[in-house]
Amino acid sequence: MERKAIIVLLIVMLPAFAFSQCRRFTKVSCIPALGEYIPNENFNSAVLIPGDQAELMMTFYAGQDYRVLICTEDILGEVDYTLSDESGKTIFDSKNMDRGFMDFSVAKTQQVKVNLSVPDRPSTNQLIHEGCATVLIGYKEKG
Amino acid sequence: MSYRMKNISLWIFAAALCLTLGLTSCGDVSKDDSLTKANTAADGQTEQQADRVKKIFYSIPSPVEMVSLIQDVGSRYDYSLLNKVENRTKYSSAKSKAVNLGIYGADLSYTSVFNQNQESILYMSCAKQLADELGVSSAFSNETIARVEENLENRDSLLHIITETFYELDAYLKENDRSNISAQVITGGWLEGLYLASKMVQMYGKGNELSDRIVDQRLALKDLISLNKAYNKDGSLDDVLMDLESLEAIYAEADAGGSVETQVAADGKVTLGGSPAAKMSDAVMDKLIVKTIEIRQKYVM
Repeated sequence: MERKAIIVLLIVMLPAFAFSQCRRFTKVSCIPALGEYIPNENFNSAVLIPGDQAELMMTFYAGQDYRVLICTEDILGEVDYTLSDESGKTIFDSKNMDRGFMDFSVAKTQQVKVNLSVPDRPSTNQLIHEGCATVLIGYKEKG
Repeated sequence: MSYRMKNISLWIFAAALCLTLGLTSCGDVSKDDSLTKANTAADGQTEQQADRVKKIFYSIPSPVEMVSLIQDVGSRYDYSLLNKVENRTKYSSAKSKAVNLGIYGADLSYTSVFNQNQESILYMSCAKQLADELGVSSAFSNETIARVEENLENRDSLLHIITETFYELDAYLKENDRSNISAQVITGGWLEGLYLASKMVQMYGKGNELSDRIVDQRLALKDLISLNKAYNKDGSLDDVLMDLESLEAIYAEADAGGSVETQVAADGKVTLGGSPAAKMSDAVMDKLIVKTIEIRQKYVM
């Protein structure tokens, strides 16, 4: 009887452990990469699967420097992302970048859009891979 | 305790835990775990894939960005502007606790930016107590409080700790299907930043970087309204939305400014924008300031 109760406890707690996976992943693997930039206080993280897309909108203030960091779990493979300015012009494209973050200054306050796209890989078996994707934003006063 | 009593206690504990976890986390299981799931559809695309919609986030600038500018433009520290710590016991509903947690968080950023150590401890304590009452104790752990106390003299480290703490709080709320509470905390923080900037403009005058930043809030406000709408499934954010929309109506009277032109310097450094910024007449600015103070006053009581 005691064993049954312990099994019930374990079954119930498994999803709770899974909930905090993105939070832990972001804290351990992503936030340190912001370096000297002060992190934004909004948690923008989701579990994505192949073929998924995500979009983030945020206002960036004039007179400040920013780092936008895209952080994804390896299981998702190469996640494509772009950053476009208020006019819709693509400023950064992960296809042309050799690092996982984008640093820039802002001369005029504006809304910037970040688009993420998880490649839709053909399935070789009966499994779909899920993984966390996080968009982190850090700022610092213009140096 | 007898063996039978132990078993009964264990079952009661298991049942209580089932109920608690079920209540706090039942909405997001399929979204927020990170497991590998079986593909069962015949055409190669699972039902799970077919049902997926584009995930849209709205991120709001941190209050610390506003209060840092308040200090940069040479304003003097004014403790009387902040929400009084004694007010904390007046907040009894989840909504008032959440909004004022955001307000106290912005006040904590303000005291920290100005290196006011004693006040920073007081506001950290207020924020912690409201977080505890909202069931989000984990973000304000003893370790976090100790880190704050150790770094009181180091402004940059302190700001990092504060923003990381509120980031952790936001993560916890979102992962536990309490995004409406998260939206209220974020709204409180944004509103307090706008309020403090407004009071400074009243004291020191318009036509400076701070009044420009107030004008620029129209964009953050647009995202904040979208964020609150996205999480307003049960109508709990109707009142907040009404207040934000009343500010939006005033912002609509301002000139939106010119189009942007992004520049890339020879060294690869990217600068976004550069064209004329948005403008707001003094009369509209005054109206906005009065409305901001009125809404903020209603929340702090």
